[in-house]
Formats: sequence, structure tokens, C-alpha cells
Amino acid sequence: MASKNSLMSWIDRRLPVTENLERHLTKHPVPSKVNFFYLFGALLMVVFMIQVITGIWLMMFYTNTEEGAFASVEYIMRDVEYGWLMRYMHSTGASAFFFLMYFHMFRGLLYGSYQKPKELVWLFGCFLLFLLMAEGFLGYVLPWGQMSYWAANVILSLFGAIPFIGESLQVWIQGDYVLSGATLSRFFALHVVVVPLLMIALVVFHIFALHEVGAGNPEGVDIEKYRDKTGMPLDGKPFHPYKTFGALPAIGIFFIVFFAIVYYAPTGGGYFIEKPNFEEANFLKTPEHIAPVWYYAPFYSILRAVTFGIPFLGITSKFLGFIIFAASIAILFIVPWLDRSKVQSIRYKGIFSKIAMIMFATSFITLGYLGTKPVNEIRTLIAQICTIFYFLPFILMPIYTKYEKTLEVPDRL
Amino acid sequence: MQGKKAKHIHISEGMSLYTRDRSPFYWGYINIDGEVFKKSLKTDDKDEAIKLLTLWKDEILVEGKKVLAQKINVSAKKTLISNTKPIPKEKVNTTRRKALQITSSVVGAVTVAGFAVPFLSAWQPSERAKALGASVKYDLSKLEPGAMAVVEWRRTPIFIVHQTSEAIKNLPSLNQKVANPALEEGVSRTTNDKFSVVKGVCTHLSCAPKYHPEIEPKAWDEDWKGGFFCPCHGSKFDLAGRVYKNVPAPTNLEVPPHSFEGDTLIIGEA
Repeated sequence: MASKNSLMSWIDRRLPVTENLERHLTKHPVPSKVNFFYLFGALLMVVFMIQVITGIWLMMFYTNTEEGAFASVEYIMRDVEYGWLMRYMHSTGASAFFFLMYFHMFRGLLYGSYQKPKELVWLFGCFLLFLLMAEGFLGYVLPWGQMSYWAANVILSLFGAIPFIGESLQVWIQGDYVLSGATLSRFFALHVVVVPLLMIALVVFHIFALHEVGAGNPEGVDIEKYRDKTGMPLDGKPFHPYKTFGALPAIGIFFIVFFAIVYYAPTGGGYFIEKPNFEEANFLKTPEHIAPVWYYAPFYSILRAVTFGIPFLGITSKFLGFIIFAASIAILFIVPWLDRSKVQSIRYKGIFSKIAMIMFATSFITLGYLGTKPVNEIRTLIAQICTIFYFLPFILMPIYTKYEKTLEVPDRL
Repeated sequence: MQGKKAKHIHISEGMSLYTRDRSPFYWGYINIDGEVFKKSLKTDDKDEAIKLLTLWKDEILVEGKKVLAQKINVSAKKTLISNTKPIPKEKVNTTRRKALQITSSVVGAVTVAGFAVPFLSAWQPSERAKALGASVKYDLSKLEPGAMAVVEWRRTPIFIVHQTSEAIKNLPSLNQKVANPALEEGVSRTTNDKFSVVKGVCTHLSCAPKYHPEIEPKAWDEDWKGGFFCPCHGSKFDLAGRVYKNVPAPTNLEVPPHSFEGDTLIIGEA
């Protein structure tokens, strides 16, 4: 023991290991009473690790050229030992990542996890959502299947819709006049190096910022108010071992569901990996129906719902669609400054906040459903209404959160 | 010893010995970062006094570190920092410092911008990609009226339609339904009045519109006069590639740069 202590103190003198372990794990206080919504952060870390590890292994066998990409994915699936497992874990991991991320963020909206002083935690999280969307898109192109190719075409043509610079911007991103191998190999570099590095950095910022301001709870109670003699909040528990071990059963349940999908339904009925993507990319043959993977469907729906432009400003319907689509993600970034409520949690907020949350969640799910279906007049109309319902809770937030009647928040958890 | 002149012996920076009027011993003087320590060294041997003084200084330094280690609050650190003497303001040439800051920032920015050029340019189409984007030829004599050929140019499907006389007659009747009725150039939006040459890429989101030349009621239009229908998002175009009103596609199907040389169509060169 003595030698361990002297070794630790030798290290601590040079690298503050103990200090940081105490600060972030063994003495870091977290609220003692939270609900299942607070497990998604930990699960996201698990999925991120799955993606990194399976991704590195896939990289060992994947070929990032137009000629070789599709064949190398088939090679991974058929010839590489457990290659199928690596690939399906990675593709299912992508869906799991978004699933958990959406719940994690919805938790934030419900319990006000973005309110002062947590603005930066929320901002880093929004950036992570944006990066995850980019990462998912880039990764979906890599197998070079029909849907990889045509979905990428749809997204890249959005850049082409930007007035004046659009066309040359699109050619620059593609590295060719059309989506080709040049695009594929740069997307590979972005997917495996650039975006993951940015994501790791942002995860670090996200957690450091969180540990500075302290984790929230479903009641919106400030646990820092009452502390015992050691400085530990009365309604707090050290992160380790209470929360680390507390998360283990959740991780276990998550793994059961995750691997059930990996083993028995890796394509998720065409929602996780779309059927046309088992066919090699053919730039002369558009699939009959281009649908995004389920996790982009709500945003794709918003994009498609815009069937009109602003002619006198020279804005086409396509470009306006792009703007509204971008706004649907951008609006999340400013939520901390839209909410003027005195209380954090939905439990103590007024009726309007509750209606707004239901409106937002319903429209998000409806848009997601519509985004996977082919368009017709009725669906377009519903998508347009849902798009308005998606934005209204945010646009009206400064008004209803300020004037609605809130309940008294208790002192203790 | 009275009347003996007190003397100072400088040992090193911040360390000296001195004697006092009524004392037979050497006294030590230590100055560490502005903090002064004095005491009698209780010896009249000069060499021993120097030795004791050095030992004493080490003692003070070690003690100081211990005290510092115990004080983990920030204010203690602040005092220590304030004890180090700052360079007097008047000795700093702020104009020169500012000039250096500006020049080094500018040089740094120019360097970054300069290095960004090759990295950003590398993303432009390569020479090979440019060569592959060259023009292609098509022999029109093979194409029957009413038929459509698909030719690949820059990996884009180019639709070449040999219009029937009926289709050409119908075009003006569709002027009410299409967003931009004006037919540029010839009857079929080309420089030739029999052949339409359009990119087979929907101007909405790059899907491929399907060729439906037959004049009959369709699921998407009861009064269909022939044209292109995009199955992705339901955009409709007439046989000349003009976009219908109230569909997601914002503009007509694009006409690629092309020219006719007798029966030969050259796509890629106007």
C-alpha cells in the first residue's frame, strides 16, 4: 500500500491523476434522484465507443475507391471472419446513436437542461447532433450502394441550390462535375478522421462544461444549496460508484436490445439499411423512391414540405427548403435564450409549455413517418402543418414561458 | 568592538552577510522575491557563516514550498504571483510591442491563408475528372419519332427525344399548365425543332424523371399530354422538359450545352 501511495504521489506530483479522478468521478456530486431519461448520456458514450472500435476494424478491410468500395463491403460481409458482425454493429450503432441522441436531447428540453448556467453544455450537445448528422451522412455514402449514391446526390444538390455560389460549391465538394469516386474518397477521410476527432473534442468540452455547472434533475432543484460538512450536497451522491454502477443494468438492457437487432434484424426492415443499398451505385438509374434512413426522415420531411419559393427575392422553393431544413436544426442552438421561464423542469412549468412539448414531439414523429414515405398531396399538406408545429413551440417560447403560471419548485429533491 | 565599522559582504543575488555594531557575529540577509529574512548566524568565522547562510536559504525555500502545497486556495497563489516584481510600466515600449503583435498576427494570418490555398484547391476536380467531362456525340438517324435515347455525359443521363408532330402540336396547349411557358430557341427548347435534349435529372433533388410520352389519363394527371414524371417527389414536366406549376421542382429540366452537325448531336459543346 505504501509503495502504491508513494507511486501515486510521484505521479500526482507530475500529473494530477488523483485530483481529477476525485473531481470528475469519486467526489463529483450528481443528483441522487433522477429518472431513466438521465441514462442516455452514459449509453451514448457506450455507443460512441462501439462506433470507434468497429469503425477502426472496418477500415482495415474497406477500400475507399469507386471501383472497390461496394465489393469491399461485400468482402467484409462474406469473407472476413466476423466481418458481418463488425459491419452490422457499426450500422446498427448509427441508428442507436441517433435514437439515444434524440431521447437525450428531448430530456434536455423537458427538464430545462439548457437553462443558465448550462447554455454551453447544451450548445456543445447541439454541435454534436450536427456533427453526428454529418458523420452519419458521410458514412452512408461509403458502401457505395444505390441509396448511398442517390441520397448523397439529393443532399449535395442542396448546396447547389445556394444562389450564386451554389454550383461551384457543389463541384468543389464533389471534386467532380458529378458525384464520383473523388467524392467517395474525401468523404472517407472526413468520416474516419475529421468528424470523429471533432466529436471527441466536443464530447470532452460537453462533459467538462457539465461537471463545472453540475448535472440537472427532473425536478429542476438546485442541489448545491444544501451541503453536508464534507461539502457534498445533501441531495447529491458521488458519481462513482453510485452512478457508474447504476448505469450498468441500463447498459445491459441496451446491449440485449442492440444485439437482438444486430443478430436478427440488422437492416431494420429497410429503415436502418435500405434495400437499394445492397445494389451497387448506378448513376444512370435512380431508385423509384429515395427515402432517407429513419433518423434523417423528420428533417427530410421538412425539406420536402417546402414546395414554394419567394420569387420576388429570387429564392427558389429548393433553396427555401434548404433554409427551413437548416433552421430546423439551428433553432435548437438558441433554445437557452428562448426559454424565459423561472423554473427548469416541465413538471413545474405551465400548461402552455406542456402543450408545446407535446406539439413538438408529435410533429417530430409524424414528420419522421412522412419522410420515409413517397409524397402525395395529402402527405405534403400534413408535412407542411407539422413543419409549422415543429417550429411554433420554439418561436413562441419567449412569450409563453414568460407569462404562463408556474408552480413552486421545492427546496430539496 | 565599539566604533567598529559595520560592513556588508555580498555573497550572491539576494544573499549577503553583514556585521552589526554591538554583535561579534556575522548576520545573514536573504531576499527571496522581495521577502526579506534577517538573523544572526552565531559565528564569527566568515566561511562558516557563508555555509550557514546557504543552508538557511535552502531551509526557507523548502519551508516556503510546504506552505504553498498546503495552501490550495487561489488567493495564496495570487499573493505569490504579486510578489514577483513586474517590469515597471515605463520600461515597456508599448508602441513597439503593439507593432510586433500586429505584424506577427498579419504574417501568421497570411501564412495560414497561403497554406489553405493548396489544401482547398485539392478539392477541385482533378485533370482526369476534367478530361472525363469532355463532350460526347450521338447519331440521331437511329432515333424513331416518339422514341427517347439516353446518353451519358458527365455521368448524367441526357434524354434525347425525337418529338412526334402530334407532340409538337400539343406543346402550345400546355402553356397554361407550365410555370415558364416560353420555349427558348426552337420548338422543343433546343436549337433543332425535332429533337429535345434535356438532362434527365429532376431539378428538384436530382432524381431521374421517367419518360411517359403516351397521351392518356395518369394517376398524377387526368389530362396528361405526355412528358416526364418524377416518381420521387411527383414533379411533372412536358415533353419539352418544361416544369408544371405547383410541383416541387423549381425550374424546367436543364438543357445541356449541345449542337447539331447534320445527323450528329454533340453534347457538351454549344
